[in-house]
Amino acid sequence: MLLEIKKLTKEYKRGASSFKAVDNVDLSISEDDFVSIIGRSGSGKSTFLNMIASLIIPTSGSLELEGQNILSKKDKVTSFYRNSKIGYIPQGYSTLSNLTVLDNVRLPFFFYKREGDATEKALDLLEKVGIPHLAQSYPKELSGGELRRVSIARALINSPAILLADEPTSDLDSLTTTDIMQLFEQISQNGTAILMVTHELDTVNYGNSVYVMNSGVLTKRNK
Amino acid sequence: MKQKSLSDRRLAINNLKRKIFRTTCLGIVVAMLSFTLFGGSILTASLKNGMSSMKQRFGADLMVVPKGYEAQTEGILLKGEPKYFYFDKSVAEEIAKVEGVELVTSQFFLTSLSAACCSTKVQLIGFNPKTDFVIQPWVSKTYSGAIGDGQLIVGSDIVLENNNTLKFYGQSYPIAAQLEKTSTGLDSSVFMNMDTMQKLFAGAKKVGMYFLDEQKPGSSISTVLVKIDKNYDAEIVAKNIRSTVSKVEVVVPQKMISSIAKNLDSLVIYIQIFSIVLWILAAVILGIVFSVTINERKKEFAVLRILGATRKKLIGILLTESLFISITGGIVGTLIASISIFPFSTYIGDKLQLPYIQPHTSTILEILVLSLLLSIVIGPLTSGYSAIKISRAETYITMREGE
Repeated sequence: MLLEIKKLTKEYKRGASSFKAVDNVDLSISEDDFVSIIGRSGSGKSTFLNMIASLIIPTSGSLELEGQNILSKKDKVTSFYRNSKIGYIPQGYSTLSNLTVLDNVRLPFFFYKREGDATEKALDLLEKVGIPHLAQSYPKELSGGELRRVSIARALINSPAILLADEPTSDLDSLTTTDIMQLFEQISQNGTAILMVTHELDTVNYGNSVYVMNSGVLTKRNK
Repeated sequence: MKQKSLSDRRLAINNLKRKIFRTTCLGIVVAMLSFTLFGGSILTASLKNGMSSMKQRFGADLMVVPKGYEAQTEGILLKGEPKYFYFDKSVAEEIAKVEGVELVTSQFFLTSLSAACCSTKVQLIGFNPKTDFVIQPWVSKTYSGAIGDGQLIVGSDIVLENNNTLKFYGQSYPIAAQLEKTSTGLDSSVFMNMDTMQKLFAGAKKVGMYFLDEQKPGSSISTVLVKIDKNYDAEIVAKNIRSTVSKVEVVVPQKMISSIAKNLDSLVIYIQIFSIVLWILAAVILGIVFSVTINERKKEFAVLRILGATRKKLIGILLTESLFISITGGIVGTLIASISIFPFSTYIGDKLQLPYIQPHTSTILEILVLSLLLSIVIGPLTSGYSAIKISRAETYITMREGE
């Protein structure tokens, strides 16, 4: 199993009372899975995704990626894990405005010492996501759909084990949404596991399993 | 297509280049700081140097001049205003007998003219090599030989003729040595022994300049310089001279210097306070600007964290950015200060009306290193807190706040 999550919980305090944003969640994902989690805003799905990316520390539970427990590790370890094992596509636009599209995609490659040609790889990924002609453009010159493609290419630069996508199609038109979802399917078919959280029901037609998150509780739903 | 790797340094440079207005403004703040630190320190050191040189050069404890010529004496010593006045040579013998007086030596003053007969209008000072304890120790710093008859020793501000001579009253005199700068009126004075002075006096007479009405130069002197016994107080000996010798005035150079020193101290303190205030002000401004800009860039740093940047890396990028700003601003400010101060040191000294001598190269280098260090350190120092704060922020929350 690629990702093994057991009884993962995140508790927050709001005033005098506390509440569970994520409540005892179990989930297993294998290498060829394309999993969608749907839920309303505030249901806890983004918190759940960020715990997997080790951006939020869970209150309790366990999380293993490729058999390695990555919880409670030092920043250096979790950052490396995030950089090399996870491809994270954040909600909204997340490109760096000071860098060209090509440099945005290449950037995570240089965070740690690596063999290989980052430029060649980035150009190849831009080709795959359909925007090779925009390599030298700056983010402000791109449309919403193109920016999302840049984020996807960037998430794939270090050949991660799993792609985490937080609302990847929010604020995109239906045509662009379809393009992006088809791109995810291709990525999944090429051997990268995908875990996507969304509140858009149309997107659950893609992938092989769908979960619903409601008040922090995750339940499987038949497609 | 060969592309450069995206190191922290390159990211920092890229960020600075793409926000050129912000970068320039921050650089200007640091440049202003380094300009003040370096310029102010050089100014302070030059004034202190000038003061110390002045104290050293007024090698006499007392200066006795004819009554009524106290102000003119100060003019000669401080501003190099050419003057002449005389009293009888016997005054020196009378002063030597006064209680508390250890040594006396006399000097003879003459002025040249700004006319065809003379190279320049300066103060001409004749001294007695046998009794002198003021000029010769100073001369020995730049000239080891004895000053021969007909030879001149000139102050640092005197411009020589092409053949290393100076012409006074129709006759050219060779220059034996040029003295190092003292930042006093003596810099624009010319020194010679009494025999040479006699020749010069005769030359003046030939061109119709009668400095003395009836007396011969051999029986007249302009001033008696006094070195007092170390067990006596200068003011008390001065009082003794005034009461013993008639028609003379006693100038106490240290008293004269102390009033200049007082003005100088005020100016130095003002410059130092201004530098400290500016450093604090620059630190506050930079701290606020870095804090605001880092806050504006929350999302950018959250993205970097998401992509796998460690907290240390974020701090590294921010400190590199501030370091580049500080280094550039520091160098620019120091350069501008150098261009504004070094070529105009004489002008600055004249305008300040205070003794002003630029410090030695080693001192200038020390000041340079210290000023650059204080300017360079200010960037990382003031951005450090914001950098650490942003690196510790919860990435997910920061990302949402930055939306």
